[in-house]
Parts: sequence; C-alpha cells; structure tokens
Amino acid sequence: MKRWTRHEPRTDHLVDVDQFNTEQVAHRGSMASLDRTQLPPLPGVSVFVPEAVHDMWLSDEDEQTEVRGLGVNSEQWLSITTRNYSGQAVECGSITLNDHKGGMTYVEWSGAGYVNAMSLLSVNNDGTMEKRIRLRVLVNGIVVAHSEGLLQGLESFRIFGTVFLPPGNHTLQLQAVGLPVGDDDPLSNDAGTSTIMLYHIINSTVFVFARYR
Amino acid sequence: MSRITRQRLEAGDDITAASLNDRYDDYTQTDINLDNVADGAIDTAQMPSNAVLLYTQQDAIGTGDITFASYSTVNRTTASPPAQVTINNSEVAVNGSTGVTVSSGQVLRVYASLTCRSVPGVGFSAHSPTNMGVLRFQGYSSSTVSEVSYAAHGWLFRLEWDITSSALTDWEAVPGQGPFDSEWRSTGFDGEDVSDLSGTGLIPLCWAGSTEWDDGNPNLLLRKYQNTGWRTVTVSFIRVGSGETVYGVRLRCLGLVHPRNTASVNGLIVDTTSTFNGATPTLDYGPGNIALMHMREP
Repeated sequence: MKRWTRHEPRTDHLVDVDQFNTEQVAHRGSMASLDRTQLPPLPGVSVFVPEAVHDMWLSDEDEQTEVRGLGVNSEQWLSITTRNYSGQAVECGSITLNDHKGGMTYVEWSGAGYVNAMSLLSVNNDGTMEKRIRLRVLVNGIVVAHSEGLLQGLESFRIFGTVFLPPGNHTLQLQAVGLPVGDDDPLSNDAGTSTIMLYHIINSTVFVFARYR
Repeated sequence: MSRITRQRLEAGDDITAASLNDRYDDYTQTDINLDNVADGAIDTAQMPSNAVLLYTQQDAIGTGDITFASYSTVNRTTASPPAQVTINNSEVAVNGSTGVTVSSGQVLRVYASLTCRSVPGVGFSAHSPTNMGVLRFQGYSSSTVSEVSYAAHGWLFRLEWDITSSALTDWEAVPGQGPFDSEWRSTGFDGEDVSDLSGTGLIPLCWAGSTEWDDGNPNLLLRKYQNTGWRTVTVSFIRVGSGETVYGVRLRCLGLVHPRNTASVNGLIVDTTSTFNGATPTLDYGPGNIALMHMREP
C-alpha cells in the first residue's frame, strides 16, 4: 500500500513544489526496484503490442548490375565477364535497417547465380584457374554470413547468419566476390567480337528479422 | 495507454493539495505496463504466444527417402508452352482447408527444398555445335576450331500458390514470378525476365568444359562434362501480405532453361532446340519438404 512518507497535503494547507518532488524522488527508488512478482501477471493485448519486441526488413534486390558487361552474345547474360572483372567485391544489393532497437538479428540472402568454370582444367594448372564465387552479407561492414563457392554452373542459393546489433540505423550489404580471370582463361570467342560471361547473381532477396531485448 | 505524462512541478506553478494528491496517485502498480517499465523488464513469459509467429506448417514432399531406393523422374521438355511437372506430394493444403489469410502488416515465408540430380543421358555431349551455350575458339593451328560449352543449362523449380479455392484447383505463379508459358521478348523461346523469378530455384544440368587450356586456346578432343550428382535445390518466397488467403502451395519443375539476353534485358528461357548429341536429359528427385511461416511484421 502506497502512503505519503513526507508531507501529505491537506485541504487548505500551504504547499510548495518540493512537497511533491521530494516524495516522488523517494518513490522512484521503489519504483525502479519492482521485480517481476510485482508486475501485473501478464500485460493484456491492449497494453502489450505483440510487435513491440521484433522487427523485419524485406527487400527484393533483383540481379546485380554493378558489373554488367555488354559484349556477350545473346545466349549469355549481361554480367561479370572475362574482360570487365578483376576480382573485386561486387555489390548485389544494400538496405538500411532503420530504427533498429538493438538485439539479436537474423539475416538471410536467397537468390541464384552462375559460375563459368569451362577452363578450369588448364595446361598451366598453377592454381589460378579455379572459378568460384564467394557470397557474403555484411552489416556495418562486418561479415555476418559467408559462403565459399556455393554455385556450380546455374544454381540457386540461400545463406544466413545472425549478429547482435546495438540500437541505431545499420547498413546491410550483399556482396559477391569471384576469383579473377586466370592465366589460361580465354577472354573472348574466336572471332574476338564477344566477351564471355563469367559470373552473375540474379533474383536476390534479403530478409532480416530482429528480436529486441 | 497509461503512460504518466504530467510534467515535473516547477517553482511558480499553481498547485494545490488536490493537484499534488492527483499527481501522487498517478503512480500505482496497476498502471505499470510496457510504457512505464523498461522493455527489459518484460520477459518472454509475458508475451502472447503468437507475438511473432502466427502459424507454421511443414510437409514432406517428393518421393522416397534419402536412401534413394526410389525416386521420380522428370523429362526435359521441348514443347511450347513447356511441359511442367508437379513434384509428388507437393500440393500442400495450408492450415487444412481453412487457409491462412496474410493481412497487411504480416509476412508469409515459404521455403521448399528437394533432393535431386540431373542425368544428362546416354550419348550426351554438352559441346555439340548446335547446342545453346557453346562458344567457338580458334586453336593454335588456324585450321582448328573447338566448340566448348560453358555449362549454363539448368533445371527450374517454381513455387505456385492457390489463393482462390480451398479445393486447390486454381494454382498460379506467386507474385513476382512469371509462369514460363509464353514467348519471351520475341526470341522464339518461352521464358521470363530474370527480374520475374521470385519463388524459384535452379540446379545445373552438368559441369562442362575443356581440359588442356593454354593461354586461352583449348586443345581439340579434350572436352569433358561431369554429372553434378545428388544435391538439394532450395526455393524461398517471402512476401508482405495484402489480405490474400493462401489455401495451398506446390512445387513444379521444368527444364532445360538457359540464360539469354535481348535489348539489354537478361532473361531465362526454355531451351527447346539443343540436341545434346541425341541424348535426352532427365531429372531425378527424391525427398524434400515445404515449410511455411506466417508472421507479424511491425
């Protein structure tokens, strides 16, 4: 039972502001020390909004267009080719996790892609001819999900990971990093008029689920 | 809402005994809730059981088990529109015949996986000159030309849903996905833009290439291909609802598909012309599953 512990005001008594403020300060300590047994048994749905403790972000990032070679023939994709790629990280999409309130966060990247390994077996097999593509999800520049060489030819993928994030707006990036053109790779077909599709990522979807605590 | 909103008293404020008592009465245990108790004081036990997940379901699909003692086979299609095969047991009723209504502010997540293997077939050659996806390279000798496949053929899996009938008689492509049943951009092949592939999955026909590459020149007669073996195709579809009731989902398969571009647009088309040296590629599939999650989206 709550009672005034300092100066309970009576009708027509003279009062001043500290009469309440000191009482409130005295009570703050006990308010802050409430434990679960003192809480209502369960906040009703009208009070406790179910969505209060989680959040989601969903984005269709489609195909990567950062590296898009135009010199391929009609039976290939406008894509990372043997002539426009040096092994750098290629952005496949980026979203901002706005108003993230802090907590464990699940990230998932699904999509499909292509890896061209037709010249994998070469005379000068010195390790430069391997062809695979690394897929990774970064949050604020930190890798939180990574897969090495997931694709063979034309194939779909899904990678996922978790990270504990502080409150704030976080930047999420999808990146593909292919091994560069090797010593024995052909750069174009025999007529020399077209280049060759090397890697591509299509149909990217990113899904993020955050559980706040 | 029972947030305490009274401002702190300041010198000069007009106050009475009654107003002070009112203010004091604001602080009661019965008003304590999420708004005036820190989030950290709310524990999992105090959350409604459906605070995040509204409904979930998982069903086995496909044929047999992982011993692959039995499996089903899908034939390559050369028809237009292409023949599409429904994976065994994959027509899954959602929540019995009731379905799940995915309202605005809610999310539906559907995941399908299936173990399968591509079988190129007897006499198969990935490098036949008339195949799609074959490049011609000049050898060291000016008289020699090698055709080499870059192995871009694949089998396509499509997720469909029925949002019309609990009898599951009105299947259609999920939003963001094309049905692969009409000609793609006047190319003579059925297909879709790669931007219309939501809820699809792919596995390769095979690896193909040529050994003995030397400074960009392939040696003749050393062209090879390799089966990819049993593997798992993964299909996912995630969508914010708009009030539709999902009565069922199913998985379909067709092949072979191949990359294509025209007018600076990338597409995926159904290859009906490659002959693969007279072979008939097929796809075997075993067991898999479809999982469905209906969630609240804040």
